[in-house]
Amino acid sequence: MSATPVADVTPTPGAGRAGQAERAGQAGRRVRRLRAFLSIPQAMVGSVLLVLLLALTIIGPFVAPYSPNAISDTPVLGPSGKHWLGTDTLGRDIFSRVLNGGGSVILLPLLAVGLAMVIAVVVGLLSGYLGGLVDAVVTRVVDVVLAIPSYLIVLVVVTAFGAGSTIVVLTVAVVYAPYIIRVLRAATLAVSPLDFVLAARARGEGIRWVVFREILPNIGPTLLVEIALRTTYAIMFIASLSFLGLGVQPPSSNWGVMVAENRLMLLVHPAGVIAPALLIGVLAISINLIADALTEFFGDRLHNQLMV
Amino acid sequence: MVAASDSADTADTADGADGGDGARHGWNWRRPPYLARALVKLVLTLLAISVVVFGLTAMAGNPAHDILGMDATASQLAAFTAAHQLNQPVVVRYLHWLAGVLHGDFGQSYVSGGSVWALIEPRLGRSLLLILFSWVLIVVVSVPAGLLAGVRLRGKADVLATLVTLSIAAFPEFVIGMVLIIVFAVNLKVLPVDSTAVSQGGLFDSLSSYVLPALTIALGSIPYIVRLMRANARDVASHSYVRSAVLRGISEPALSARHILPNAAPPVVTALGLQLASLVGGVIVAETLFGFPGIGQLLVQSAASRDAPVVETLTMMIGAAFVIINLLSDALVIMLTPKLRDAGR
Repeated sequence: MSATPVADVTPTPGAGRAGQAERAGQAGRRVRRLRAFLSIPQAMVGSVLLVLLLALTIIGPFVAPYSPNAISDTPVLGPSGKHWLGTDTLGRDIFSRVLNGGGSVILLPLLAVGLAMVIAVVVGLLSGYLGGLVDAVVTRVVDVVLAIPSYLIVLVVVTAFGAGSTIVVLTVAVVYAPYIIRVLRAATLAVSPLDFVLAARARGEGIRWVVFREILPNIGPTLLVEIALRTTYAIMFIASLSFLGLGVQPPSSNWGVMVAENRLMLLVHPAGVIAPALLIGVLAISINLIADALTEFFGDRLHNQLMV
Repeated sequence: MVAASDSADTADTADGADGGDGARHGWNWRRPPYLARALVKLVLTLLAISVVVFGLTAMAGNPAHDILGMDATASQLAAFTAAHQLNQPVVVRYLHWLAGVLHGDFGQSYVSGGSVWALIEPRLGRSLLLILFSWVLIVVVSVPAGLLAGVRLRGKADVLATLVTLSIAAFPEFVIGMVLIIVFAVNLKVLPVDSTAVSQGGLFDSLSSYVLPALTIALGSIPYIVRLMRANARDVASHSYVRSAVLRGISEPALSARHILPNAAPPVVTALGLQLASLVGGVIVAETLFGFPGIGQLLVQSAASRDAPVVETLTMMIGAAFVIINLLSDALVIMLTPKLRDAGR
């Protein structure tokens, strides 16, 4: 609340043609804007949590006392000095598995959202800018996909092609793209009639220039908020799919897989469930907070209106 | 334009969405009544879903190897292919399947060999009861909470509601469910750890086994509905008729119940219908987590074992339920909103 949201309403016409000197000035402005962003409490807390988790994920595999899949001791041991979080039903060290299990939890959602974003930027912007038949077809297809619950689509694809991380990433990308297309299309519709777009068209710029160099930079804030929001959902969705046994497959130490495996010994010692479940929660919270702060920072009215 | 001329005639008939409809105007081909349009949309959506579902599973080719395992003999594979008519062209199989579905025959399971309906039938009632419990929980908790938070904007209740909903929303359902198990089943020992008891006895014999799964599913949707209700109540509260009611000295409960709730409700009703999409996810996760023998668990197990006929049938059933409920909530919104009621058809 204390931070003044810097509403990015000044359009940057032909941002791609900015001069060299202007760029140096922009770097200074970026630092100042980053500082303003981090002065929002949610942004600060979210970023700190995210950095801690990333550090854990990157450094973890190097400092883990055991190999994540090595049978290191008797099964189902409670926490001890030798095994900080005990051992699982196969006798693997849970602490080492936790340290190794973050990579796929973070990476797969990023890949899925990245892919969905590429599809959505192209389809959403063109659909919003061109209008007419293209727009009508895109809107109809988007409506149909949004009418089917995401879980069902993934389950049908898994039935057809088998479970696994590749298939889950691809499917989640296709399932999420329509949500992003809807948002970017609306943003494009809002920007298209503005003067700098008309000016670019009057200059005789091609459609590729107008869409990707004029419109895209000016819906950047909406895009950024959408990326953050979708990443939060994707983290939870893909972790849930791994928990259900449809995504990342055992013997991976993916946190979602670990929760599913260690559930069997929940009554004996719950550390094997609590640790990975908690880390997934913290990861989701951190990105959620950042998304929240981005919405506030850019005064992004579109996301407030669509309630997505 | 058509709507404007309609509204003049129907302004005096306030008896519901389809009041005095065909009798006055006859059948208008350019703008058929809401119900007819809704039914056409329902059938088209279901056809689209069926084509996508069947097409996807057909695209993957003959599943005989995946079902029977790598060391199945050629004659076993041939027998499986013949039994499920997998040597027929896709279009023939699709039409055959569609005709069966329309006659209530959902085909044979690849894995069990028995009829698909026999697998689904005992589980359906339990899952419906579970969904009903969750949905009631969602409505009972989030509508009052959101209303209170929106009316007393930035007050203590609002800050608390915002904090709680944001933290719950940040956890995936299986983590929420796990926390509930640890608290209520492991530590307090007041509720069963899993819901396998549901399959014994009648529908209502094991109600305690429904509590934790229903709570898990509900907590997945409550944050969203609370925030939506809060945002709508806030918008409505800024209108002048609310301020004039306050100036008349109306009490806060009466203000909320009579002025704010009726005007803030329509988008929430739509959302409660749409929310069934994420309820499907919640049911799938909660049933698997708690070992609840319902259709969500069957869906996951069948997907993992590549049992396409079961997954196709369940997907169609859930898809149909989803579309119908959305249509019903649309109709309810029209009935709740006088403006739409008079003009919208």
